[in-house]
Amino acid sequence: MTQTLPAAARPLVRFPAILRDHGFVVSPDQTIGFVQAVGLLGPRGIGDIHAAGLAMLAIPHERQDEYDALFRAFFLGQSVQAPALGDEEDELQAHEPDGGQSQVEADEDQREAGAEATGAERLSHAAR
Amino acid sequence: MTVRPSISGISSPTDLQRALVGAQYLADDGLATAAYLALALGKPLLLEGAPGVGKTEAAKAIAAVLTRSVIRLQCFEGIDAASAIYEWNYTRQMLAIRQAGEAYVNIYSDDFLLERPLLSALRAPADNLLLIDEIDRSDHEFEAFLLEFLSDFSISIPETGTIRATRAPVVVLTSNRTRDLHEALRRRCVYHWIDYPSPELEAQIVMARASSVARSTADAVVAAVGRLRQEPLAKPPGVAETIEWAEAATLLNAQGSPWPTAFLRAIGVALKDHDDLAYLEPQLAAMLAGEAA
Repeated sequence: MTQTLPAAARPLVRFPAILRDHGFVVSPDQTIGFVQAVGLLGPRGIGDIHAAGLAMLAIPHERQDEYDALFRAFFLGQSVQAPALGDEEDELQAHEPDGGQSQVEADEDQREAGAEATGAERLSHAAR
Repeated sequence: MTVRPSISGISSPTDLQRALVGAQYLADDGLATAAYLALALGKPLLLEGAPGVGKTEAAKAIAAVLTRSVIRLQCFEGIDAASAIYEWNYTRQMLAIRQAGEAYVNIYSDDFLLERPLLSALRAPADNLLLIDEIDRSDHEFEAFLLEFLSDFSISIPETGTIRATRAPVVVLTSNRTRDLHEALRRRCVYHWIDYPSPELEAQIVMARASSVARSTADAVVAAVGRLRQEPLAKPPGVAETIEWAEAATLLNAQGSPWPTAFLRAIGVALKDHDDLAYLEPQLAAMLAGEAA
């Protein structure tokens, strides 16, 4: 007998897939652990989901900024448009949930995870 | 995966954080959350961070909270299964064979088995916390073996059979990150990176661990240690060094050494590498000049 995933849990399953798309190594077991951990913590707020992901998905310390940016983009609705190749001004458009926009300067160097993740990381710095 | 929301009366990260204070360990929210999840989900806890940030102390404090003994496996380059799991006591086996003469003697019974940390932890999982310390010092073969051990918590002894833990033991692994651990090992663990504590938290740790130290001294030492950690040192001072430095400087001050001379004279407990001392010596007096506790 198959069981349908509760609607509230679906984002928790989709988020690890987003991380995988950005070069993080996340196993199905870790996804299950992540969902269980969020349930154990309450969750009392978005901070619990963030902490559960850091711990259960074993996010390497040096990639935590990248994780934070992807987390914000996915759970808080911020989105990042990656710079197009050859863009003269090399700028990112950061779209806030309220519809506003902010300019984010892009770095020179590219990270292993690719342009999208790098853009997300830049957003995290801009949002602080 | 067995989920146990409450372990020894601890049913949330906040509960664990409070209990750790009782064990004289001040954990931040991230560590308390990761440790609680590891306990509740029955998974190993992997703590990574620079040397001296309190990884091993965290494991000991968790054991104290759970009223368990710590079984420590200190890893090193070349560590093998014999050092980690079990060995046969060959001398005793030989003596038994000689004493038995023509009679039958089972030389592969428990009487001749020398338990090493992993086997001890498997046999009494409810009484102990297994601390696998500095896993990054071991080689890849041993890490692969650990991966198997942590997956099913069983050990096969060819002469006697398989020993399986009746329940998942509490396991804490630490790594100084001298090399990357295998992804498969990380995936089996609940992970937390321990950073140096914030100045406020570190001063609280000093006060909790060294009752003779005044708050102003603790603040001054923490500020000085913060500056030392920004220097390119071979062995930056850890939290233990901060505590020892505060205690040593307080002692020297009580014996008549004024501030900040007391700090300078006690620097040997904070910086334990000759090259580090030689590098900092010209600027040390200036660095500590403001620390008039």
